[in-house]
Amino acid sequence: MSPRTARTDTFAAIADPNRRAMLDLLLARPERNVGDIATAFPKISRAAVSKHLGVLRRAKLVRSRKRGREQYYELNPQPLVDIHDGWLRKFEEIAEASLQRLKERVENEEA
Amino acid sequence: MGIEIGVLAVRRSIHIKAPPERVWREFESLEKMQAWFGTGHRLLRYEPRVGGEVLLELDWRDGSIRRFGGPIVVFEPEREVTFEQDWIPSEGIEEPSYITLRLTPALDGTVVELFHHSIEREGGDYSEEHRQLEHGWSMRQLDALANIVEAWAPARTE
Repeated sequence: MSPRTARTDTFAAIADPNRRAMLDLLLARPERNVGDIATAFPKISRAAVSKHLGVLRRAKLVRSRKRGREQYYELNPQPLVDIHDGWLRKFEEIAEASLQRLKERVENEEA
Repeated sequence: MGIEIGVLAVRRSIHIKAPPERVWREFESLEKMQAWFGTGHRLLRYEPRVGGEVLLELDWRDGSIRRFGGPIVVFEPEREVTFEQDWIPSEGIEEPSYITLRLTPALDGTVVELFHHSIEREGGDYSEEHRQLEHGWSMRQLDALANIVEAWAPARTE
């Protein structure tokens, strides 16, 4: 999978508010099983919770581990970190900061 | 004339109270460019001519360094510099998009525009790529992302 495809998957995964809330939940406590997570989302079915977790797992935002009969989930924030640090933010930084600096230099005759 | 700005483009601009010939002095050498275009990242190479290389470098949060840039395809003094934009090494796009810096005399001064454009040249899902660049990042979404990343930051330094 290319980095760009990965980015698209990450976006799709965090576009849903329930999935963002699940990431928050896993951030607060590192490891939870499906039952724990489902309890925190009483308004949606356990099947829907599993489906959301599947989307997060495919986007590599969570890792799952089987312990006994239970599947445990933990957060993997790296794809989010990659985007946060990535070109989208950098383009804004480069564009805005650079143009501002150019204006200051020229108008203040620093050069 | 300059390059034709490709249909899928992101633009930032600023108005400077000086004529284009004055503004252009800041485009004339690596040292001059580094003083402003090196803001937020490092400008390692800038060869001010068609075919010359632009090479930039930035720090990733995980401590790694990433490089990007490409050859200059348009170099018109007092008017425009355009160079290819790709990661080095490439992430496997079809053709690089472009970064264009364009000077236009306006309102007793100069408008400087910075475009990241022709994103469609990259192939793949250029539509989504552009949407993310232009529209995808509402501040709310960026804030949500920042919160998650910041909250996780202490754990990474342990």
